[in-house]
Amino acid sequence: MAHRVLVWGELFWPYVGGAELFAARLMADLAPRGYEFAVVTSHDHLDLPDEEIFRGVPVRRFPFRHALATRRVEDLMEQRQRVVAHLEAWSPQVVLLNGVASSAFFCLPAVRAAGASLLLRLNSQPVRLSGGARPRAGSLIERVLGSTDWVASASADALEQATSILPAVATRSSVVYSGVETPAESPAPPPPGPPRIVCLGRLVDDKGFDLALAAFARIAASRPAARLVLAGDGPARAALERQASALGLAAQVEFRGWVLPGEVAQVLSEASVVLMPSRTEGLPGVALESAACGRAVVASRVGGLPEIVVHGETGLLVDLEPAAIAAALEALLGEPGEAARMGLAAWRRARAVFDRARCLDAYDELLRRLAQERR
Amino acid sequence: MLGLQHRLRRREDDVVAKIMDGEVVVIDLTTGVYYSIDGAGAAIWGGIEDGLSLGEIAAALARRYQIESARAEADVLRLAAELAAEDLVVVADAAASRVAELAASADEAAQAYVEPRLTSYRDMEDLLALDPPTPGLADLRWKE
Repeated sequence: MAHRVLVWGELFWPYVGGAELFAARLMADLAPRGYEFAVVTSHDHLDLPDEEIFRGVPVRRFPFRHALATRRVEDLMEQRQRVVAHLEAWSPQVVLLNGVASSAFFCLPAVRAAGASLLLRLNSQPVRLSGGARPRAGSLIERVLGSTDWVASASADALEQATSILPAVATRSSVVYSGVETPAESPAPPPPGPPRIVCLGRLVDDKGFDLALAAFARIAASRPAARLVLAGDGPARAALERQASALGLAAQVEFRGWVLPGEVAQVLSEASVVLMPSRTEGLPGVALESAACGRAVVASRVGGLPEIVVHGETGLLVDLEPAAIAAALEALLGEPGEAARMGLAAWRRARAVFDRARCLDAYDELLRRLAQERR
Repeated sequence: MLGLQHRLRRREDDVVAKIMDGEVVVIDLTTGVYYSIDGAGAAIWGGIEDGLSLGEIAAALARRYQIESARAEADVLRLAAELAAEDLVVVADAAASRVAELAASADEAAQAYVEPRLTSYRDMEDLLALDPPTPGLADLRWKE
């Protein structure tokens, strides 16, 4: 009999992000191992149906975020009742809460009512989730951590923060790196020709692409053929376009727009170096994908990035300051052979440490164990 | 300091609440903090909303759950103090004492006594702000 696992995500397809992609790929890869999946997620700004099938998986959307934003307690309670009824009817053995977000407010009572085990995938820094400060006593994050049967953290950094919030997490947690499909053959080095610096991700303040522009401005004049590619979209795009124009970089900066998951490898392979000046990160998929493509990464020392990028070996870790970022970019652009060496080392490390099969095996073991321990 | 003689009332202008299935969800509209009250707390909250004094609530609690009065009084006063500390309730005008029963849902009478618990969620606003709308997704469909 298949293990019934409900994946709870704040957002899901067609919304694009690391968490959404992780959930979709995990379900596709684990289904052949004897799992039946369903998804519960929140409506957001897109006009999507309440019920839909995604690659054979039933997806149910609820207006959680809207109910919380309007602060109408009647709406809140109605949605809680509806999702409790949904979980009681579908009867999952395990609920995989894919990250801590506002909809967890509805998840906890639903899990309790269904008598399911709760596995939390922690994929962001808890400090970030609380607006940049250590979560205050009496927070949803604390409540979620206290309610889980196991925490699978995507990075050691996030798990350390979670344990500082609730020490008991240390006894029921593990680090499970997300994993990435890495080609068996070593990747080609960065293409010759004008240097291309690629930033890939949602255009939001957390990604630090404004710092990327400021850093690029320091090297653009001496490298007129160089290009900075911002691949993605988001609410910060207009501001970034204004910044690029104000810095006189309009001709050298490309705003590529959304990148479909199937296009990521191509976009990263076209890079001379990948730049990730993030202000906060969990274990970013872009860094893993860059390693799989054999590209060196210049990255900030935040979140799980130092767990992927080994300074001086697979890339360079820098302070979040345009001058430091620019110096790191110059170091790699000025030494293409060094950048290629680091990219190759990144590929080897991805195969050794971030093997996709290892991630799947870890989740398979956790889900089976928790299904058997179901409350 | 609150005593058993006090009656409390919800700060109607700024605090909204709803009881459902033995749990209360409370929202402070001025701070954006969410709360839940469970265990016997739902019954206590209902007594507050019905205008009972804390002593009347404790007495009714002791009768319903067959627990010692001292325990009921201690739990009622503790929860009342927490609610007041969160500025969810204020002291109401005095009224004549009476023997009252707490409103109960159909299955509450059969439940064992569970200590009242007030849980706060102070990070809801931060969490809601984390995922702002992202443009250009309407026509983006994964094909992998």
